[in-house]
Amino acid sequence: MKLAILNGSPRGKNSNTRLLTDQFLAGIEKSCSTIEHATFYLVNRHQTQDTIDYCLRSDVILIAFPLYTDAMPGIIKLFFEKLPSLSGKKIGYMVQSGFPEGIHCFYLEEYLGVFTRKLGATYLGTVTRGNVEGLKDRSSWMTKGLYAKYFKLGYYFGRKGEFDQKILRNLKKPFVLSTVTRAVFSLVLKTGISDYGWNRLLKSNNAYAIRHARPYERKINPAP
Amino acid sequence: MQIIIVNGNPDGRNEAFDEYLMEYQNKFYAAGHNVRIIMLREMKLGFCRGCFNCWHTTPGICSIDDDIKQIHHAVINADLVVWASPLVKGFLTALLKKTQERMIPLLHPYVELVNGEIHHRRRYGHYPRHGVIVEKESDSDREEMRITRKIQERYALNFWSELNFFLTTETPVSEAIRETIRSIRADGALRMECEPMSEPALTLYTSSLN
Repeated sequence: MKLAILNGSPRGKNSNTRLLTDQFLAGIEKSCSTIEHATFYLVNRHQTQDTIDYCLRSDVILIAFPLYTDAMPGIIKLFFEKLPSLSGKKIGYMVQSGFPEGIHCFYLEEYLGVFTRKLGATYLGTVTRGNVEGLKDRSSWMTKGLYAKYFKLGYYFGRKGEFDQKILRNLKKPFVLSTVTRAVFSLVLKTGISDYGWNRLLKSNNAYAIRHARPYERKINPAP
Repeated sequence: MQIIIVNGNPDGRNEAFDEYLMEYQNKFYAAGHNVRIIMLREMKLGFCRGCFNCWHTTPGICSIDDDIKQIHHAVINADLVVWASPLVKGFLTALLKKTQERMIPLLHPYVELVNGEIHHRRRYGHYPRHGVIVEKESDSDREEMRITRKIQERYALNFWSELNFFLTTETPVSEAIRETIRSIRADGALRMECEPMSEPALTLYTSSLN
């Protein structure tokens, strides 16, 4: 079986998306499957035609990308627009979001199903996962559990050629925050702890004092 | 009212779509509203790189040196933004989508709870209402329209706004205008009053008002 992995993160090789697909691939390797795979970075737009050609020679295509304002990043949509009919292929997706709740990805996931049908391909489903921003800056004990799930997902995929629905459902949680989490979070918000990471970055860039800048408000600024 | 129509039609050969928006614009212009079309395909616009410089290095300002600054200025000072695009493969064009995601400098990196969901905090005091106009494909079905609409409702929610209308170019322009006005009247935050033209109607990146 031939598998095309398309990394659709605008951050390319430095993306959180890659950290997750790497785990998935390690799982596939471990499963001793005969899957032959290649990864393409869609941010390298000069390779678009090569990517499409490889997709046409593949049996399964895995398209992985981050959620960008409630949908797929623009580079992914552009790639979607260029894709020819892929009848007979199987397509699965991996969507990562910075928000903790699954609801932010919900309608995009519905769209991916429709889009796959439009290509004439078989829809394998979408692995969606929230709270993924800044993965590479987290300590290994924080990412271990998450990486293990993507590894297992890959292992299962190597054996069966499809996603383990149990892991898929688990990764999507929580769809919305529970009442308890909301209460805790609103307390945390009041302390300002949740702003800490951004403030640290702002300070290191000498931008903390202007963090509330409104550079395009007409009352203050003329048109650029 | 200040109305900004963001035309995400990538294909100059699709004149019908551009003409629809021009007719829509002209009616509001004739009534004295400050209304402009932003022709995305004539502008220099890159893709968001996810660098977050607009959040942690130059707050509120995108690092990509292209025409996005004019769009940020137009959008944040408008009362109503109409995101307009033909549907391609069941969704807004890549041209419109890439522009939508480049609006994040208008928000804060910080988050807060909005109706029990996590969203980015507002950077500006005022955000425009949203409307959407799409052109159907030959095979567009109700399911795709529903999903596209839902995603645009979520997008408006993330930008401290609401989706006031979702129309297709199958709706005659006169009816689209009536629907727009009806939605403005029903919206407590908007008023139909005309303001003096604070900006020229014609610039390099807007379509001409013939």
